[in-house]
Amino acid sequence: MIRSLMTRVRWFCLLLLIQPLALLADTTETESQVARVEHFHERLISMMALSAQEEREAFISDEVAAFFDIDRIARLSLGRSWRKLDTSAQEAFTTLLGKHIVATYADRFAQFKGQKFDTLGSQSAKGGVVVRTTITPADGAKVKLDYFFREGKVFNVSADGVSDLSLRRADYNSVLKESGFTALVEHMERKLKEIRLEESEQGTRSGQVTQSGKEQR
Amino acid sequence: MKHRFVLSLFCIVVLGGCATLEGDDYAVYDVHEDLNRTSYDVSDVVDRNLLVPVARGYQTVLPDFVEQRVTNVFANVRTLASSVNGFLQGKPASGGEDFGRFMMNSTIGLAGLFDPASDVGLESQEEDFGQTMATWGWRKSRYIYIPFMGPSTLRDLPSTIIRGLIPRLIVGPDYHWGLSMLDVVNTRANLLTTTDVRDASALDPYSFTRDGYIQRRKYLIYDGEPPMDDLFDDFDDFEDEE
Repeated sequence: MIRSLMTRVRWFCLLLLIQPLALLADTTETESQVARVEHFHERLISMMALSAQEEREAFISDEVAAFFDIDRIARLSLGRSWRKLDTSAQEAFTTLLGKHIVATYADRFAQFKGQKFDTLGSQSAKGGVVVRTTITPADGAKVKLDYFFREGKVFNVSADGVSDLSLRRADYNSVLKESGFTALVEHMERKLKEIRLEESEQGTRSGQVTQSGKEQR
Repeated sequence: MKHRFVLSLFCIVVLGGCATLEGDDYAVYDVHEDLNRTSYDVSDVVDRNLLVPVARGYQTVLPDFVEQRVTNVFANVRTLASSVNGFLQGKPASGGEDFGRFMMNSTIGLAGLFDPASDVGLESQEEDFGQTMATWGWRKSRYIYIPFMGPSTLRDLPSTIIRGLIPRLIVGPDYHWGLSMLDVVNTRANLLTTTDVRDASALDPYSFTRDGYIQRRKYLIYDGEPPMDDLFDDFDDFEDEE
C-alpha cells in the first residue's frame, strides 16, 4: 500500500519536473518560428530594392524554399485529387507551384514604399504554431498576416483572415473539376507567364499586397 | 431568359432560407452555383468595361488626399450603422466606441472629412446586420452573387443591399443622387487592389472571390479573432489521407 503510494508520488514529482521542460521546449519552438518570420520579412524588404522581376525571383527563391513547405502546400491545395496523380505528376506540380509562389512574392513586393512589418506574437495551436504579424504600407491600411507552421515550415498564410491555402485549394479544385489536371497545369503556366510579362511591360510596380484599399484615416 | 433569372433569384431569396444546410458553420454553401456563376459573369462584363475604367480614371485624376477625404466621409456615415449593430450583438463597448467615433469625426473631424477618432484610439468596429444575424445564431448560409453588387449570402443580403442606402437614410431627402454615384465609384476604386490581386493570382476568379468572401465574413464575425484551431482543422481531412 505504502509502496504503491510512494510510486505515485514519484511519478507525480517526475511530471512536475517534466512539465516545465515541455513548456520550455514549446517556447523555444515558437521563438524560433518568430525569428524565421522576421528573417523572411527582412529578406522581402531587401528584395524590394531590386528593380527587375527576374532579379527579385532569383533573390527570394531559396528563402521561399526554406521558409515554406511547398510539398505540403501542393498536397493540401489539390486535396483528394493529389492521390490520383502519379509521382512524376506530383513532382511536376510541386515544382510549378514553388515557381508560382516565388513569382507572386517577387511581383507583390516589387517596390519599397515604406512598408513596415511588425510581429505581434505567436501561439501554439492544435497541430502547429501561428506567428501573428502586421504589414503597414506608407499609404494604406494595416493588414494582419498570420503564418501557420507545421513541423517547422509554413504551410499557410492568412491576410486579414483570408487563407492563402484555402483560396488556392478552392481555385485549383474548381479547375480540376471542370477541366482536369493537364488544364490546371496549363492555367498555372499561363499565369506565371502573365505575372512575368506584366512586370516587364509595366516596369517597377508598387507592392500590391500591402494596399488593400483605403480605410478611414 | 431575364424573367427566368429574376424568378430563380426570387425563389432562392424567399425559399432558400427555409431549407437546412448540412455541414460546418461558416463553410461555403454554394448550392446555386450555376446561377451564381451566371450572375458573376454578367456583372464581371459590366465591371471590367464600365466600373473599372471609371474607377481607375477617378484614382488617377483625384489626388490621394482628396480620395481619402471622400472615403472618410462615407465611412463615417456608415459608422452609425456599425454602432447600432454593435449594440444589437450585445457588445456595448463596441457599439459605444463606434458611436464615439461617429460623434468625434462628425464634429471635430468636419463631417467625417478627417479621422481624429483613430488618433485617440477609437477604432472602426466594422459591424453590420449580417454579422448581427450570425451572432444571433444564423451561422450557415447559402452563398449568392448579387448582380452588380457582388458576393453575399442569404444572411448578409439585407446588409449588402442596405449598405449602399445608409448615407441616404441618414442624410435624408436632400441626399443628391450624384453622391450615390460618387460612393459607388469610390468604393470600386478602393477595391481595385483586391481585384488586381485576384486577376493576377486566380485561375477561376469566381471561386477565388466566393471563398475569399466567406473567409473574410467569418473573420469579421469573430471580430478578427477566429478560433486558431479551426484554421488547422480545415486541412486535417487531407493530412489524414497521406
